This record gives sequence, C-alpha cells and structure tokens, in this order.
Amino acid sequence: MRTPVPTSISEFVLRAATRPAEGDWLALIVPERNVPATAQAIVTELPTIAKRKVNHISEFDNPRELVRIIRHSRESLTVVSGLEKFSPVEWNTLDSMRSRLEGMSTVVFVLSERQGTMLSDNSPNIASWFAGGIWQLEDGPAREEEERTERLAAFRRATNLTDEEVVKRAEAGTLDDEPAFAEWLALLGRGDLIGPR
Amino acid sequence: MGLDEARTSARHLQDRAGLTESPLAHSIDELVTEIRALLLEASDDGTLLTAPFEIIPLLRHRRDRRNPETLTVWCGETFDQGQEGGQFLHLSNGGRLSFSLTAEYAGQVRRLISYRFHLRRAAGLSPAFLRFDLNPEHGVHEPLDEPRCHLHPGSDDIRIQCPILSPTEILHKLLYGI
Amino acid sequence: MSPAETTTNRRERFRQYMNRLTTGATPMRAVTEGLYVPVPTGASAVAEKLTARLDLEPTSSHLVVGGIGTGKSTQLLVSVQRLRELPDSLPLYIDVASHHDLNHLKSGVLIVIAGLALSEYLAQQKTDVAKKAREEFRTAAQGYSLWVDDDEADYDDYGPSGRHFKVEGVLVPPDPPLDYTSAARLKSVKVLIEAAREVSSRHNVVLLMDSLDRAPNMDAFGTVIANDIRGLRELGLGVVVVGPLRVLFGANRPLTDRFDHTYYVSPVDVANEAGPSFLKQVLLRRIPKDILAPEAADSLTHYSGGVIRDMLSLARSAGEEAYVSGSNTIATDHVDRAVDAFGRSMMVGLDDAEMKTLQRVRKSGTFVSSSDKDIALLVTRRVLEYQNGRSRYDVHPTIAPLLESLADSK
Repeated sequence: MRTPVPTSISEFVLRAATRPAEGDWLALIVPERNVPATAQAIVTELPTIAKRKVNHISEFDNPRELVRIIRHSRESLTVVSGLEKFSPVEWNTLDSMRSRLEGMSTVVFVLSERQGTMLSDNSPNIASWFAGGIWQLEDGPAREEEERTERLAAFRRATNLTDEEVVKRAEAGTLDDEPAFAEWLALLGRGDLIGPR
Repeated sequence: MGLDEARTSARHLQDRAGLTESPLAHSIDELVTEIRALLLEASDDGTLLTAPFEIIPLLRHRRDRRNPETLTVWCGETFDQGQEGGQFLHLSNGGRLSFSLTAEYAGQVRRLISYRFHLRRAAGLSPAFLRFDLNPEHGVHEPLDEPRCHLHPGSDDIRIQCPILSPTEILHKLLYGI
Repeated sequence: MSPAETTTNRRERFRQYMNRLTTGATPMRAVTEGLYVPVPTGASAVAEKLTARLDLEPTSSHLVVGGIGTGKSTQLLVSVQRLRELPDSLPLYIDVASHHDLNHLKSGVLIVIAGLALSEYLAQQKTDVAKKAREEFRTAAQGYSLWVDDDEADYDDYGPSGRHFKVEGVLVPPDPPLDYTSAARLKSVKVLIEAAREVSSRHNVVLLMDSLDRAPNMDAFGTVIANDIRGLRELGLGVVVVGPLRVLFGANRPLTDRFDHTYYVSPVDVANEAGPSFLKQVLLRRIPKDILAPEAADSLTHYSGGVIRDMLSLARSAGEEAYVSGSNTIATDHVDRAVDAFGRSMMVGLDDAEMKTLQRVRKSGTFVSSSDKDIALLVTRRVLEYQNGRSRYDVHPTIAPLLESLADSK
C-alpha cells in the first residue's frame, strides 16, 4: 500500500512516451543492482515508442553537472541513472537548483527505493514534480515464467499432446513441422530440435 | 510429366523466395519493440480496438534458456479455430488477430525460424481467414503441396507460396491492407 | 475510408490535453497565457491583499510562505501584473534561484541580484543612465559566480598593533551595522533606483523576490533578511519575499517581525462551496469540454485537496490512464487510478512516526507541528492547512484512502 504502483518496463515506457514532453518527471523504482540494466532497457525501447530522441545520462560528478547535462539535452527525452551515489546534501543541492530544471522535456529517473526516499526527504520541490509519476518495477522473471507455463498449457489443451510426446516426436523426426510446434519446443528449452534434420 | 515439372518449379520458387528474406531488426529487443510500436500505433489510429494496456501484456516474448539465441514471440491464442472468446487483438473492422514467431539471433546471423499470423475476418466475409505460415526448415514436404512459407486464403488445405516476410510487413498487410 | 485515415490519433489527442495542464513548466505560463483564474477571497487570495497593501504603503515589506505547489510563485506573478496597472508602481520580479546557487546564500547576494535586476530593467529601456552602477553589479555577480569571497578589510577595526584603537560606543544597536560591501553596493542600488524612477516616471519600486523558500537552512535565510532585505528597505523600496514555511515555527518565528506583513498561501478550502467551484473553473479553462466527464471533474477537484498544482497533475495522470485503457474520454475510474498512483507517490519515504502523525490528522483533524518532521509534512503537502478564518487540518485526499486501508489492516 505504501509502495508505488507496480508496472512493467513496457508499460512504464508507454507512459513516458505518452507525456507531451514539457515538464513531465517520472521515476521507476527498481532494486539497486538492476538500475543500469533497467535504464538501458528503457533507453532501448523509448525512442521507438515515443518516436523521439532519447538521451541517457549516467555519468556525472555532482548535482550541478547533472543539471547542466539535463538542460543541454532539453530537446530530447532524458533518462537518468547513476543517482545511487547521491547523498542527502546532493539531493538538497539539486532541489535548490529547481528553477534551472523548469520547462525540461520529459525526464525519467531510474533509481532504487533508498534513493527514492532520499529524493523525497531532501529534494521536496523536485519530488513534487514526480507526484503521480513514481512507479515500481514488477518482478519480471516471475511473470515471464507464469506466461510460459500458461502458453505450454494452452498448447497441451489445443493438441491433446504432452510436452514429453512433442519432444519425443521431434527427436524421432516425426513431429509435424507446424510453426506451433517450433514455438512449443522453444518454450521447452529445446530450440535445438527445431530446424533441419 | 506435368506433375514432376510442377514440383520442380515449386522447389525452385521456394529457393528463390527463400534467398531474399526480409531483413530483421538488429537485435531481439529492437524486433520486439518494433512489433509493439506497430501495434500501439494501430491502436492509436483506431485500426485496433484493443487498448494500449491490453496490447502490452498480450505481446509476450521469451528467450530459450538453454539456447538464448532462440527467441519466441507470441500474441494471443495458440490457434484460432473460430472459438468463442479467447485472447486476440481485435480490429475495428470486426476481425481478430493472433500471431507467434520464433527467430534466431546468433551473432551476425538473424533469421526467422517459423511464424504464424492468423487473421480471422468479420463474420460473413470471404475468405473467412488469412494465415501466413512459415514452417521450420525440415525439407520434408514437397513445396508444391506445402511450401515452407505460404498463405492460407481461408482454407487449411490451400497454401499459396510466398516469400518470407518480416513480422512488420505481415502486420502492416493484415492491419491496413485487407 | 479506413480508420487510419479518419480517426484522430488518440495519443496525440491526449498529449494535447495533457499539454494544457503542464505543471512543471514555469508558473509564468499560467499567467501569460491567460489561464490564471483569480482565487476566491480567502487565505489563498494573496495577490489581491499584497497589491492593495503596496498601493497604500509602497515601501512596505511582505513575506509570503506556503507549502510546495500551493501557488506562491503564481501569486507573486499575478501581483506583478496588478502592480503594473497602478500608475505609480514599478514592480520587478526576481527569481533568486535562477541567478544564484541557493546553497551559497549569504549576505550581500540579494543586494547584488537587486542591482542586476534594476540594471536589466534599465538596459531594456535603452538608456546609458547609471552605466557605471550597472557595470559594478555585473562585476560583483561574476565575483560571486567564481565563489570568491569579497574580502575587504573593515577599516574601522584595527588590532592591538594598529595605529588606531576603536572606542566602543555605549549603545549596542538592535541590528548589527551592514557590512561594508553591502553598504557600498546599496549606494549603487540607490543610483539605479533613481534612474529607474526617472526612466519609467514611476516612483514606487517594488522588488518581488521568489524562490527563497528553498534556502538551504534558516540561518542562511535569516542572514539575508537581516542584512540584504533590511538594506534594500532602507532605500525606500517595497519588498516582497517568498520564504520557507519553517519561518512560522519555533525559534524562526521572530524573523517574521522583520516584515510588515506575512501571508500564508493555503490551499483552496474544498470544504465550502466556493472552493470546488473555483477549482473546476481553473480546470475547465484549460481543457476541451468533451474530454472530461463532469463526475470526473468533480472527483479531481475533491482529490486535489485545493492544491491547484496537484489538481492539474491528477488531471494529467487521469488523461494518461484514459489513454492507456483505450477510452476516448476521462471517467471517474481513470481518476481513481490516478489518485491511487498519486497517493502512493506521496507516501514514498514516510517513516512510522510520520505515518502515525498522518493517521492522527486523518482521524481527528488535529495537528501540532512540534518537530522538523511535522513541518516537513506541511511543506510537502501530506498535511494540508486551510486558513479560512480559522485553521483546519486534513491529510491530502489522495493519501486518505491508503491511510484508511492501512489502519483497517491492523
């Protein structure tokens, strides 16, 4: 209840892409170890969905430099990671420079829960810009496994075959070469059985 | 004999069609994002009735754990046999769409292994469905009867040979060109 | 014609809607684009009170405080507009933070910024008057930018080995004398004021200084008030300062005595009829009528808690929810989702003690700001104070359902 609403990367990217890109600030809270990879995933997807240039800022020495770089990329959508090193003082400094960040294009922060709390505590003015725009990354691997399981079950229901029967037939070279079976094998981790024999 | 010549001709046609594969996106992420962007755009312009936040969870993808260069993408039901209900992309013209594909991304190699794009059209229209199929490379079937890459024009038994198309080419056709 | 040819792109439509509700853009936009709706009479109608008092007392000083997003900057900008309509008033709006890093706030900074603002005004008037004074402030500003302390010796004070000894006076003035540098610069400011008066044919110069509510600490704020604002006032200027809300509490309170008037910009009180009606006007002035269902508009005004910025944020988020769910209009369930996301965002970073305080405010309406954390709850709008004759407290409406749910689960 106290945590931000969970979301997937693709849903979050769509939200960022939907914003008209004037003064929108969004944040995605992820486990600290996943910050770089998540930021990169967003940077990969966002330009295609938003049809706009995206700038990724991850290297900066201090809040002043961060502000300078954000201002420099005001024509693009901006994704910022690398905030994990910020101390409360640095968040406070960033907040005092709020005026220089007004009117930017859409800015996305990817950060850990710890830093989200620090932002809230020490950068209250900038934090107010994120109101309604803070999301938490859902557990992707768990959801993907659930989807795989559901898909395999759907194949079994549709064909009355079991996973083992499909693998056996593929190994024997007697499996029908329908696209569905190629997919089935790939989902079972037996992509090696697809293809020329 | 006429039949032999027809078979030879179909094999040649398959070889020729297979030689010019459509280029795939440079990476798995790009391919999936490209497809997702196309579907969202179709929702935005009203071609698809399916809402953006229904499209996103419907379009799923997974890399084979043991063979991570093999990608599977699916959207909607495993098969469309005209059943009531189920998960599909719904078109504003009354049709519904489901698809899946497997692809290989191994270093410089990027190729489609298989796909199925099934458009069931609104009731009363003929043909009742269109399905683009790409079978895995087995070489078992005669191309005259079942070419590797083909279109089903409303019948599971009729297959019209066609070149291997990219996922976005097929989607563009099914969403905007029918 | 296919749908692709006839239907307006949904995402573009909602983007245009959201663009009309931009909140992170400068407050100037609301004023200059005619989107500002005058606040109904009450604590939030600061601009009206401010301009009325400056009309009567042109050299008076005013302190404006309030929570984040309650409209302090907007009230200042509206005041500038109103003052310009007075025949003898020359208002100059200054956003201190855009000139100077507030983490290095110290005495003398506001005097230099005031000098720069007057210089800019005179430069716009294309006059060579007071050129020397203008040059001095540009140099002084560059000095500050390089963070070089202006270390001039106090010539009145010589050490024991010096040739003169200072004999201390019997009286100790209530305020320490202005430092030498400030005193010198104030003379230059005076030159610029006279020049501005001559050029504009307006006598009453008013400086409206924004963003000092973000001063890093109360000591820094107190220093500039005691030195710079005092000095500027002594030149016969009207002065309006946006200050930190903390100035109203505890040991900081005496700072308000340095101003003739203090204003608290409170949220619009949604408990009475006028409040929601006003908020709806603000909303509907910005957006096309067909996109927002009437019940959704009511819901937005309620959940804003009377904070206009929050209402606009919620309206944008509700638009986003409508877009992603495939709807062409914004309904109450889209607002509900926006409210949930907004409330959860507001609750990020709250500790158990703060949660306890919020539960108490929610249940009983009582709030006693006895600590820095309590004041922070007011500053960040988790607790809203409505001043409409008397003070009334409530939690921000977007967090009320979440608090209730947490309380029920225990």
